[in-house]
Formats: sequence, C-alpha cells, structure tokens
Amino acid sequence: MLDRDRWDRLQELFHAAADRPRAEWEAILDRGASGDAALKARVLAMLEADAGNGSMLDRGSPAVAAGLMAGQSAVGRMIGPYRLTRLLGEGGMGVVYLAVRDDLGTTAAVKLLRDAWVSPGRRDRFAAEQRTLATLSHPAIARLLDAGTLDDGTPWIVMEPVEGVPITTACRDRALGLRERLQLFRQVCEAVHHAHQRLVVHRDVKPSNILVTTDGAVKLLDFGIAKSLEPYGGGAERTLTGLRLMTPAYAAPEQVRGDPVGVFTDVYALGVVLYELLSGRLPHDLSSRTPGEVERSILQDIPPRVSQAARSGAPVSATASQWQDLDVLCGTAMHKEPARRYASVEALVRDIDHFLAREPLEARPDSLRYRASRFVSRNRGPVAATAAALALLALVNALYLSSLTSARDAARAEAARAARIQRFVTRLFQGGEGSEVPAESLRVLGLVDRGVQEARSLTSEPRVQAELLQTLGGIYQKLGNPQSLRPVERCQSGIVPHTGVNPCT
Amino acid sequence: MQPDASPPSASDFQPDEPDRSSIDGLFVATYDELRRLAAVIRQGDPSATLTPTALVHEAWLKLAASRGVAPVSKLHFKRLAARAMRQVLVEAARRRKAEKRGSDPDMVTFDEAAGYLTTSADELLLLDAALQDLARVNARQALMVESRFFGGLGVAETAELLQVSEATVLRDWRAAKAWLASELRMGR
Repeated sequence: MLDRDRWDRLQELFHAAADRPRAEWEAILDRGASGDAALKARVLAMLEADAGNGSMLDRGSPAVAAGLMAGQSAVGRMIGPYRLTRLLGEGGMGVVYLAVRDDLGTTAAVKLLRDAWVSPGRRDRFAAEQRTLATLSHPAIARLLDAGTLDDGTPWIVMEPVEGVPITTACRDRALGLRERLQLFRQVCEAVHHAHQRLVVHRDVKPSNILVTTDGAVKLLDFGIAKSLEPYGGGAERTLTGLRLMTPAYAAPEQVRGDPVGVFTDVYALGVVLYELLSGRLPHDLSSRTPGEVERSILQDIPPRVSQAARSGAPVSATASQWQDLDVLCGTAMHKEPARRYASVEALVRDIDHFLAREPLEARPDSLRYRASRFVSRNRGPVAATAAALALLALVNALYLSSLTSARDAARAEAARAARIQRFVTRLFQGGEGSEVPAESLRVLGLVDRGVQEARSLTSEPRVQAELLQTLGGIYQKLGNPQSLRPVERCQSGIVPHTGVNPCT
Repeated sequence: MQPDASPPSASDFQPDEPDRSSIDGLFVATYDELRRLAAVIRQGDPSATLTPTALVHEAWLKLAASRGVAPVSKLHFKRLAARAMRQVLVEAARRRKAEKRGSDPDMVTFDEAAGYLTTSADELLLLDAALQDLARVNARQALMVESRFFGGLGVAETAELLQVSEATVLRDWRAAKAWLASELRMGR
C-alpha cells in the first residue's frame, strides 16, 4: 500500500536516477534503496516507464477517448428474461431497446440506465422513476413492467412497448383539423392530470414523449425525469435538475432558472405542445442560439401569439374569434409566471372543453396594467421605440374618438374601451413590424411623455383618460419619475403624492 | 484492486473554491455538456473529432455564455472540466467492459480495434484507481495528472492552477506519470 513516506522515497530515488544513463540505475538504486528490494524494483519500473514513453498517459486522452467513445451497441444481449433486439432510441438517461421475452414471446421496451453507477444522484432518480411509474396506471401512459440491475450495477427498466409517432408528426400525417387536434391534445392532458393526482410531475412533456399509436391512441412515455412531489432523497440534486434535464424548447422559465417545478411546469409544456400543434411552430425559435440566448429567450421573450405564428401556413383553420380564444388558451398555459397559468391541467382541459363547446373561456388575457408594468420592469432605461409606434398611437386615438362619438350604445363603448386602451399601450410599445420600423429610437420616458400628452387630449372621455393616466402614471412611478404627471393627474392615476395636500380632496 | 464504486465528484475538491453550491452546479453542467458532446461522437458522426481539450473548450464556451454558470475563472473551469472528463471516460470504460461481459460469445468477432478498445477501457479504469491512490498520498500531484491528462492543461496553466513553478510541475508530472505507467503495466 502506497503511503506518504513510500511515495516520497519512490520519487526521491526516481529523480536521483532519471537523468542518469541507464547503466548507472542499478548502482544508484542499490545505494538509495538500502536493501528494500520492492522499493528498488518499483523505482526501476518507473524508470523503465519514463524511458519508454509508451503508456496511456503518453498517448494522451484523445486517443483513449476516441476508442472508448466509438460506436457500440448492446443488441443481442440478455437483460433479465429479455433479449435486446433493436435500438429504439437514446435519451438523456439511457438507451432504449426493443426486446423480446424468449419464454413468452412477448415484446417490451428495455431501458438501460448506462451511467447509473457513476452518480448516486442518478441512481436515486432511477429508483424514483420506478416507484413513480409503478403507481401510474392509465391507458395513455406507457406501463412499467419490470425493473432490475445488471451485475455491474447498471439498472434497467422494462416498459410496455409503444409503436407510434410523436403527436406532432401524427397530426401532420393525418392532416388532422382543429377539433381533432384539440381532442387528441385533451387525451394528453388527461394522462398528465392522472399523474398529477398521484403527485407525479412529468417535467419533460414534449412531442417525442407523446406518441400516437396506429389506432390513434395517445401514449405518454418517459417519466424519466418525473419525480414525485413527495419528498424523498434528492436534496441538492433537486436544485440541479432544472439546469441539466430539460428540453429547452419545452422548458418553463422556472426550469431554466432552477426554481422549484410543479404541476404548473407541465401546464407550461402542454401549452407549448398545443401552440406547436396549432401553428406548426415553436413559440421560441431556439435554433442556432447559444445556451445563454436560449435562456434569455425563455425567461424574457414574449412569443408571438399562436394566431400570429399560425399566419403563415397554419396547419389548422379557425375563425378570427376562435384564434382569439386560442391565443388566450396558449398564452395562459405558457405564461412566464407560474401563478398566472392555468392552476391545474384540469383547468386547461376545462377551457379546451369550453372552446370545443363554443362557450366562453374561463381564462382572461392579461390586463393592460399588468402588461404595462411587465413591460417597464423588463425595459428599464432606454428602449428602442419607433416613429411607427407614435403614428399608430395617433391613429388609434383618432379611431377611438371617432368611434366613440358615433357610438350610441354605451355598453358597446364600454366593451371597446378596454380593448382600445390595451391596444393603445401595446402598440405604443410594440412598434411596427420588421422592416417598417424606422431607425429612430426614443427613450422609454419620452415615449411615456408622448402617451401622457395624447391622453391629456382625451378630455371628452374622462374614464378612458383616467385609465390611461393610471397606467402611464404607474410607468412613471416604476421609472422613478412620478413628478411628470400633474398633481391632479397623479390623483387620477391613483398615485398617492408623497407630500403635501391631496389635490383630489 | 477494486476501485471505489463511486467516481470522483465535485466534492473531492479542496475547499479553496469560491462557492460550494455554484461549483457543484457548474460541475454538473460541465459533466452533462461533455457527455452530450461525447454522445455525438459515439453516434459516429464522422465530422466530429474528439479531443478532450477541444471538448473542454467547447463546453466552456457554451457554459460561459449561460447565465447559470458560477463566476469562476477559465482556469478553474478547466480544472472542473478535467474532472468531468475523467468521469465521462471512466463511465464509458465501465460501460464498454459491461457490454463485453454481457455479449453472447457466439456473436463476438475478432477485431483488432475491439481488442485495443478493451485494453483502453481496462487501462483507463486502472489509471482511475491509481489516481485515487495517488490522491491519498499527494493530492496536488493527482490533481496535476487529472488536469493535464483529462483536461489538456499546459505546463504554464498547471503551474498557475497549483501555484507552483513550472519546474515543479515538470518534475512532479514526470514522477507521477512514471509511477502511474508502471502501475498500469503491473495491473495488466
């Protein structure tokens, strides 16, 4: 056994002889080893190795790595009673093979967790996966049949084999319409909801985990990173899973941040899947982006509404008002803030049912106030704004005033009011589209100043004016500049003055 | 000698690191990134060339661009990545051996490359075990071998990392390498 003293003596002798001619080694070692034959033999071996330069350490790790990483397969090998017949796929946690059970002739999918012995954390997760899967029994969830460990400690699980294609492919190949897609998606939701009721969060809902079989049934696969909400093991591992085990396109902001995940995380991913099924696109184009950009995009970028995304070559057709509802559906499911999403998959299903029954949705789009405050918190300091935004602003005002004066129906005006105000501000900040945008840029403060001026001109409609001033005042306040509003406007806008007499009274 | 079943982990690091948990996170991210890159090569993409140094560099570029990365220097990242790379290779070697054991003898065809590969796997596992022994008697030298062999650190970088002179690096490296090589030769 190597100890510190032994190691020091080995090195000492080695260095004493290493730069001497080979012929002198014996003599040097005889003097230095003082009769310790094992020591002498070992130093000689070191000197030979040093002179030979032929060990793995001299070849370098690239050569070693290239050999070890070259293609390999376990096809043909026996796993428990199963013989692996074909590679089905490779995921983050392991490889999946199609397997035949020789004694019964039945087929199954066998998943080998190849590096389970590397990290105890992974082993825990594997055990969790088995426990998790065993508790789930639902026609739309692939069943766990068996599990075990190889001699070398590699764990394996056997699942019900599923012949099918990802839900996105299935929808495209069968050219499914809006209603059929929603009905298929609803089945997915029900399976996920079943898992949620058993305190299992899937955490990796994505089309490649949602297969549609030839007879049109949905099967959810790979609760590979699902973890029961019940506390067991985990610890530090829990905080790391967000960082490592996710598919960026379907990952929720909290997963990117490494925050706790929950039912709301699956709601988000389901929203992304729905968005993709309806528009044929992903909400965030993450191709050719660095991980940092991907993260920023998921955390900050508000994706185009699904109706916008569907504009060029939508796989489904829907009326304008249906698209409006679908915007709300997807937008709510995919909200950046978990608390603003559907509170459960069940709630999402309810709104899908409302949609299918042509009933009003339960979800409501974000209010103007909320969006304005979100905008400001995202864009402190100078932002690029455009002359087009200001032109639109004037246009909206003109439209608004003209429609208001001509409107006799107060109820209609009231309904229009919210929508108009919303457009007023969103257009103000959104600017024009692409190339139409002039190169002029403005500070956000200037933009808000302009908005206030426009709002001041709305004297004929005090309620609208007050609401606009309220929003703009909130922005001023967030920007630390509430003084830009006149005292009476500060009162109107609901900002309580810091000092002095309340001008409202 | 049967090596410890659990591989090196980030927690083997001496406590001179900035922040325990952020280092753990970075290690895990690095490890996964390396595994991902290694998997690309495993799938036989002919355009992919595997040099751990290049992989480590690529992993650094990717992870440095991401927000979740702990504020460590590139040098410390390389040290971390070297450990991650060691783990990735040890994992590959164990898998390779496991597959060899499990395969049906009738299906094995003699193949010079396969012979070499198995040797590599055995050697790598021996090296890993020997490095663990070395770490017990001289942690600095073990770290040096790990950083240089698995992480591709140069002499100057290694000297900076370990806060010793380049001459010391060369001297310690030579002795450690000779001992490890003799260990491999005897273990075969």
